[in-house]
Amino acid sequence: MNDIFNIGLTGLTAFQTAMNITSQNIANVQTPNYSRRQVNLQEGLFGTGVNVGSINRIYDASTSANLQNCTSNFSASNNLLTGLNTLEPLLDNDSNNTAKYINDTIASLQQLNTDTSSIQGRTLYLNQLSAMTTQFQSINAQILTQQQTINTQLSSVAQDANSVLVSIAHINDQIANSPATTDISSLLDQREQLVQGLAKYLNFTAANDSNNILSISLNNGLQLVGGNQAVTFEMVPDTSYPTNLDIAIDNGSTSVPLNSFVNGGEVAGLLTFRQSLNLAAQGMGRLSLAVAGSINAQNQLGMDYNGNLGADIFTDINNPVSLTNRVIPNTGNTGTANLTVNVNDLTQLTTSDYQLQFKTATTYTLTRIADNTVVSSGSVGTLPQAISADGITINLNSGAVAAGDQFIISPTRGAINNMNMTISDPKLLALGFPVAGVATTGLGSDGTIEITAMTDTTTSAFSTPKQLNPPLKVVFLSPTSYQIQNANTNAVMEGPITYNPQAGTNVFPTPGGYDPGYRVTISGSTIKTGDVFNIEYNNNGNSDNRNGLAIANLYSQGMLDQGTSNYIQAFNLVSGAVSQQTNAIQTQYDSNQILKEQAQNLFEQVSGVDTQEETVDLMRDQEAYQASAQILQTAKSVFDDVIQMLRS
Amino acid sequence: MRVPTVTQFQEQSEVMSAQMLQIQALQQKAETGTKLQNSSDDPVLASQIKAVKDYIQSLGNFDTNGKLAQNRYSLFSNSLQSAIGIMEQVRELTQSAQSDTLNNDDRNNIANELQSDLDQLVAIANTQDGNGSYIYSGYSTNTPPYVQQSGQYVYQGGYDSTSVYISPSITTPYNQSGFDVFGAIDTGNGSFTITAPGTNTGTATTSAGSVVSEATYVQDTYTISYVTNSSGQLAYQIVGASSGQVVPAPPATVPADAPAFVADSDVTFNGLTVSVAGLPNVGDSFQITPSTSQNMFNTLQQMITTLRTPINTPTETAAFHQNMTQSSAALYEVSDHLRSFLSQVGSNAAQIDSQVNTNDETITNQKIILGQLADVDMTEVTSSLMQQNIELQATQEIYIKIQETLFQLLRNSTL
Repeated sequence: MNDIFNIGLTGLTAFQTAMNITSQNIANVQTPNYSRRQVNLQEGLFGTGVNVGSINRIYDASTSANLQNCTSNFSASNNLLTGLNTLEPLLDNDSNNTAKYINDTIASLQQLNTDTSSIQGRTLYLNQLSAMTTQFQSINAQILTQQQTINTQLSSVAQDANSVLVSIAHINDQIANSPATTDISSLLDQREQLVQGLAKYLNFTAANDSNNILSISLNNGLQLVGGNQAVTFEMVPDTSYPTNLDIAIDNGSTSVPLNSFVNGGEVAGLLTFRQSLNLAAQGMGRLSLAVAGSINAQNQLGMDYNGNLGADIFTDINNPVSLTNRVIPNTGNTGTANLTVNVNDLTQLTTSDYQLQFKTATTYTLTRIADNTVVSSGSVGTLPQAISADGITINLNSGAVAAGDQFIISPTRGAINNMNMTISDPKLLALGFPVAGVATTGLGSDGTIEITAMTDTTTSAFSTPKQLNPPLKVVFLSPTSYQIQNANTNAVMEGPITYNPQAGTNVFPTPGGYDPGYRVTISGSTIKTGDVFNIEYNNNGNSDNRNGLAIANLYSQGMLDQGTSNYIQAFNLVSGAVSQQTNAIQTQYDSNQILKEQAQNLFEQVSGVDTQEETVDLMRDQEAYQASAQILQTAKSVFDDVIQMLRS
Repeated sequence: MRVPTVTQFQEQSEVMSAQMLQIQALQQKAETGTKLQNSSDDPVLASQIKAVKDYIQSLGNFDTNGKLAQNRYSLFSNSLQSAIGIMEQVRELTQSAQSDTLNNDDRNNIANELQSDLDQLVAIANTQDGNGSYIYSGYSTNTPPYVQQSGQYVYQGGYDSTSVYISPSITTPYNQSGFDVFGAIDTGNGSFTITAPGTNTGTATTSAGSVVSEATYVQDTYTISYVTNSSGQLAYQIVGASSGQVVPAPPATVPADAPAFVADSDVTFNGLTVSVAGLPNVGDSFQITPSTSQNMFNTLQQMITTLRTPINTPTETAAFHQNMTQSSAALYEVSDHLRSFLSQVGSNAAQIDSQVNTNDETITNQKIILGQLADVDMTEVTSSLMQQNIELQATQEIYIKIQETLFQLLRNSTL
């Protein structure tokens, strides 16, 4: 009799528990990372009813690891895409496009070239140049801001990750100290949530031991959490680029940066975006060097409105500040070498940074970082010494290098920081050539003289302001020969020199090697003996546009990449690279999102709560509970019957 | 397979937000009319679009230049045509001025008319465009090309023309050098000038002369002097500054062997011919010098000075005619020069017109290409948009259906 009561009671208890668990499951239907519980009923021994054998937490470590991986990958591409989506409009934007600013300058210059004496036209061109410079500076400033934002974001990731690591270690500790009989399911759920949360920040491997203690380590084996111990992340300046902060593990005495061990999660996204920003900054920097360097050089070859030789329009690209800023010493250097870097050939200049490494105090290797190619190597003697490659010259000025010293050579990255307009007077635009040729030919002569190009205005020919030193005369001795005379003294400087009546002749440099810094072509098939061509300073030439045309040519000419990219094309390379990367990352993001959703679904399929299933369970358990109650009822009535019987 | 409740709802909401995103993208396309909202949507297409846009932009600059050049060339053409018209008038006046029936007052009146023509011609050379720039001043458009300094017209503009690009490879002269147009005009007949020294006492005058054979013409300064030969005749001898004795040809000696003077006959030597009219005296001479370059204003000014000089003696008449012959020969040169310049302006203008047309056509074509590359097909977008909307509605209805959980069904059934 007692057995029936007991059996009924075990049924009530068991189904009560089952209904509790079902309710718990239903209540947590929306709880993230909640793993549903399942009650396993067990037959009581020797006819003693039913027992709750175990309450299982339905959880599969492999689906969890899969979700964690997919979360890391998704979060990396999500973070990178967010960054790129802010960078792309900066460079690729219809209303505020840098290409448009460049085009505006050439449009105003083309117009100015129809009348270079117009102060209004000169002012407009100068204003357009200034607007373009401001645009360069503004893009550069925004890239710089985004780079600083990355530092901030990495720091906050490090902080959050630190607290997650500490919490995981703490839960490990709680689990280790729980009595064997305690239900640790909710601790495991909490830890699961922390682990999946950590996966958003970085990728790692989580391993559960037989005692449910979770250890977390990076892919290279570096342990982040072991038992109740967690490492601490800290921010350290990058050894190569000290303005960048890296997340590092504090080992007490040393800091180990994570950069090369993490390829998932927000950290990876931020680090990749840092590279994208770098590329954009380098590309824009190179463009600014091309614009400033080439326009400066051409303006120096010209003659301004006042009749003086032209000067720089923009800050000299090799100004003392830039020379120094292009060198970033490694934070661990021990030598005393003082380095500066000149940019001397724009057509060779790449966007890449370079690593200059001194393996010993007497040998160096210069590596182009973009494609990891050694572009120069050799020995180092007593300074000064110069190393040239890719259009730059690295000057080792003074001091001494020590073995192991490293320098980052960054010719382009900060270039825009030092790009400014140095003139504001429109008259200083040097749009004419300082040299004029006048043909004083005799009858029946078709001789013409043309100054075809200016090559150097620092020669002795230009040592006296507003004069040629000396002015020259090309005097024809016969229809096929001429001599060059000093026009002031009539002294013969060189000749006779052969003249080619069919093709004309380039006068300079002369066969004797005289090069005054300009190029002159004399042509004509019927030049007569005694014809004279004067070469003199271009006085009164404020409408001369020959140098203006030469500056306009810079816009269509390939200034960069061995002559294949002009300004606009160079800019399009920068913005195109960002667009291409954004496109690729968008695709990656889309697929990572699907993978992550699938992983989430897989996880939920195993561990998630299905309310329909739970409802059915609840109804079934309710039935069973009611039946168990009926057992008690029956037992009671049987007992009552017996008592009644005994009474009667 | 179990479908957990969270997954059910999440999947539906993900589907809906994906559909919303697509609708949003389509709406953006319809609003902006362009296929690409960002270059990253299709980087390859984006770079093609950029290349076409840059090309249109750069052609646009050349097109602007071309149109400016068209205006400039109509200025050139108009001014040269009126200059040529004035020169016609000058030539008529010059011809009538040489008539022997005129007196000093008549010649002075002609000189006054010529002076006004000269002033007009100088004004044409100093033509300014709408911005006040001198169009015939080469490099120095702020400087009037021709000014009078101590009685002489002096060119003070730039000696070279400036050019502008009207296509990536073609330049055209834009500010002409007035020196080339009005300044570089040969004196005399274009090859040489014949002058008489003021000391001549006879009435002989020469024609303007001409080069009869370019092949045998020897450019030199010749002196024709009148002497008495061994036969006692009035004879002439010709000596070149570098050719030496030309007539009579050596080894004949002068003055003994000098050929006799024949009135109104041609004297031909060293590739040139000149005829002498009137009667020279022994001791008279003419000098043949190679033409030099002189601006047309000074030539005209000299003629005016000649006309204003009173003629009272036969010798003065001879000097007058000698000067007038030379000056009017030079004026023929001026007209020829202006005409050839006008024809060059015409051919340049034709080239500019055709280049402007080419530029315009290319721009139009490139814009069509740009449209094909960049613009959306509105019908396609509209129909896609409708389709997306229908799909979204379907999803929403499904969502409403699956919200009916077992619980609700149970509750409904118990009610």
